[in-house]
Amino acid sequence: MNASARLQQVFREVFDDDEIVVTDTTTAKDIPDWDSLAHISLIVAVEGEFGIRFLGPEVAGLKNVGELRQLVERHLAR
Amino acid sequence: MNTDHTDVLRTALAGGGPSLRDLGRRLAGGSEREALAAGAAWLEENAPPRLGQPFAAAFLGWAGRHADAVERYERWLEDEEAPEAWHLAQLCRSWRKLGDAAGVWRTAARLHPWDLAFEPRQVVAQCLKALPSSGEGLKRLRVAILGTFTTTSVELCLKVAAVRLGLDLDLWVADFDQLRAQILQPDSALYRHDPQVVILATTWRDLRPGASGEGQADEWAQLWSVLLDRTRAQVLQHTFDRPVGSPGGHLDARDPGSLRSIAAEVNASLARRAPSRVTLVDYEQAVYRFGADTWTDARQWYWAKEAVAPGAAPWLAEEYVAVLRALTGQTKKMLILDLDNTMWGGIVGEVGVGGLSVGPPSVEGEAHQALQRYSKALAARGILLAVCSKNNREDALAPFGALHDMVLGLDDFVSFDTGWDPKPQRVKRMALTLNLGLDSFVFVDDNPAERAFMRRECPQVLTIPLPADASGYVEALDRARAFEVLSVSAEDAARAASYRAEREREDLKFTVTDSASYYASLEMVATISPFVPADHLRIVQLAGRSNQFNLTTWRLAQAEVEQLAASSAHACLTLRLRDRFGDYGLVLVMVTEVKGTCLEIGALFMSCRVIARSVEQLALAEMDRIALDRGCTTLRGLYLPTKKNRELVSDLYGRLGFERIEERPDGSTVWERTVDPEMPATNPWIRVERG
Repeated sequence: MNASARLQQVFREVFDDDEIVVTDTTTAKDIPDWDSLAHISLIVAVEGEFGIRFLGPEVAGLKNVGELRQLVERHLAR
Repeated sequence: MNTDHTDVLRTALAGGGPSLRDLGRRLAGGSEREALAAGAAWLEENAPPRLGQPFAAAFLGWAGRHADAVERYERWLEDEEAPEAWHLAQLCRSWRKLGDAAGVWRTAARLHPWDLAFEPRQVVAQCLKALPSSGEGLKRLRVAILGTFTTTSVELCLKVAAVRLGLDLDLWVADFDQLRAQILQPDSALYRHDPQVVILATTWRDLRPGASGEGQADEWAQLWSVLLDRTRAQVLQHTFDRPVGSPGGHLDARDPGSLRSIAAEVNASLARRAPSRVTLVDYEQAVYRFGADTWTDARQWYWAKEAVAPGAAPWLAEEYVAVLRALTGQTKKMLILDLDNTMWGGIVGEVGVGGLSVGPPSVEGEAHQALQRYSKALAARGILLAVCSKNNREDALAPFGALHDMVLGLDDFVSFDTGWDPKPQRVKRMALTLNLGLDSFVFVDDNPAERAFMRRECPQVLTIPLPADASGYVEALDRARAFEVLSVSAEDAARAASYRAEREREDLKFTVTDSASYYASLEMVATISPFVPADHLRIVQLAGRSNQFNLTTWRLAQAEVEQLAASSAHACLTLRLRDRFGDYGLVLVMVTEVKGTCLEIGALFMSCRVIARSVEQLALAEMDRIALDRGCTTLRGLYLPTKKNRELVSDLYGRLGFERIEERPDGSTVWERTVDPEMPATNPWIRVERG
C-alpha cells in the first residue's frame, strides 16, 4: 500500500468512518469532526502507522493532507 | 487464498514479519474482502485456537461479514478469562456495524483492568457514542469534570470504564481552564448540569513553589465548600503529583519550598480536612503506578495542554472507577480463597504439611505468603475472608497452626468450606448462609479449570484471572480494585467478627450444578496404556503418594510393578489425562487380576489433581472392557479403609454401581458388579486414546 492509501486508512480509523476519502487537497474544513483535538489523535496515529516522529514546528504549518503526505514521505526517506 | 498470503500468515503466527493485526488492517485498507475471508478460514484451520479463533473473527469483521465475526468472537469469549482489549474493540465494531446497541454495550462492559491498552478503548468509545444505550440494565450518572488541563483522553476512558460498573455516564466537561469560573459563578453551566459527581482534575502545575502548602490547601478547601453548598454532588479531588525532574534534583526532597514538598504538604492537608462529601482520587498514585516518566507526553502538553498521555488515561480512569464503585455501593464484600497452590505452594493432600511452601526461603513460598498478607490486610479493613478448597477437612486444616509462616489463621475466615463437590454450588451455598449476594464475592483460585467453571456457573462472582506464576498473584488481585470503601469504620471490623462468630456447617440441599456440562466443557482426553518400563518409576511414585483417592493403599514397589507387567494373570493400566487447560500427566493406575470369571481390582489410585472429573467413571469402563476381553462376567473390588481415604472413596464402588457383598471386622469391604456385555460402562466426556 502506498503512503496515500495508508494515510486514508488512518483517517478512516481516527474519524471512525469507512467512507472517508482523502486527497492531497483535503483540509480540516472538509471533515466535520476534525478539530484541534482530533488533529493530535491524527498526528499520533500517523506517526504510529509509519513508525516516524514529527517535530512540533513541522506539524504546526500543515495546510492540507497533501502537505502531510509529503512530510511523511520525507521522514520515510531518511 | 493464494500461497503468498498463507506464507505471510504463517510467518505472522511464528512472530516474524508484519503481525496478524497489521496484515488484517492492510487487507482491510485495500478492501480485499476475499483474501480476508480466506485468511479467516485458514486461521481457523491452522492456527492454535487461542490465536486462531479471535483473529479469524477479526478478519471476518474486516471482510464485512459482521454476523459471522460476532458469532465467532462470542464463542471465543465464553472461554477467555481476560480477553485482549484489542479484540474486544474489534467485536464492538462489528456489533456497531450490525446496529446492535446491546451488543456494543455488553462488549464494552467486558473491558477489564488486566489489559489497559488505550487504542481499543478509543474504538469502543466511538461505538458507544454511535449507538447510545437503551438504558436497560444501566444506571445513568451525571458527572462533571473540571480540569486544569485538557482531559479528552481521560473522559473517553472514564466513559468506557464506567460501563463495566453498569454506569452510563452523562459527562459534562468544562472548557479548558474554567475550573474556578464554573465553581464561583452562581448560575454557571456546571450548576445547570446538576451533577451527582464533580471531578476536580488538577495536577502539580496548579501548585505554586515557595508558597505555603497549608495556604494552598485552604484555597482548594474553599472551592469545595462553594461546590458542596451549590450542588448535591460528591466531589472527587485529585491528589497532587509532582513534576518529573526539577532543577533542585535530589535536594528537592529536603527543600520545603520545592514543588515536591509542597505537593506532599497540600495532599496531607487536604486529606485531613476532606469532609465526607469530598473524596480524594489518588491521581498521584496513578502516576506512580503507570510510570511518571511517560505519564505526560511533553509534545502533547505543549500542543494541547494534555497532561495525561493517551496511554496513561486508562490508568487514571481505573482510579475514578475505584471510587465510583464505592459511591454506587458496588464494593465487593468477601474474598474466597482456594488453598493448594493459592494460599500455599503445594498440594497438602499429596505432600503433607511438611511439603508445603509458605514464606522464605522458598521463592514461591514468599509469593504465597504475600497473598496471605494482602488478604489479612483486607480482613483488617472489614472485608470477609472465606476458604473454598477441594480437600479432606483434616488435610485442609492441618497447615493452620502447624506451619510456621502462615499469616492467615482459622479465625480469619467466616467460612471454611472443604469437600469435593463443585465449587460453584458451594459458593452459592455460602451466599445463602451468609445472606450476601453472589455479586459481592471475589474468587481467587490458581486452577484455570476451577476459574472457568466458576465464571460459567456464577458469572456474578468476580473471578480474578491469575497468572501462572505465583509472584503475580497479589498484583492480579489488586488490579481489580474491588474492595475499596469510602471510609473505614470500627463497625466494619466488628461486622466481620460477628460473621465469624456465626460460622456454621450445614447440610442444606441444593440443586446440583450441571456437572455433565462441566465435564464436557473441559474437553478431556485420556491416554490409557499398559505398564511400560518408562512409566514404572512414576507408577511407584504415585502409589507412594496417593492417600485420598486410593482404594487399597497398595504401595507398589518397583519389583512388584515389573512382575505385574509381566504377569498374564493380571491386566494393569495407567491413565494420562489432559484437558483444555493443560496436561496432568500420569494420574491413575489400576491393577486387576483375572480369577476365573471374576476380575478383581487389586489396586486403584488417582492423583488429587483430577478428582471430581468423572475419571473414575472411565476407570469403570476400562474394568468392563478388560473383563469382556478376558471372559470375566463379574467385577470385584476391594476397599481397605484408612484415615485419609475414608472421605473420598469409602463408597466409591457403591457409586459405580457395585453391590457390597461383604464387610469385614477391620472395616474393609468387598463389592461386586455384573458385567453386561450388551451395555458396558462408558464415559461420554473423556475421549480415549490407546498408548
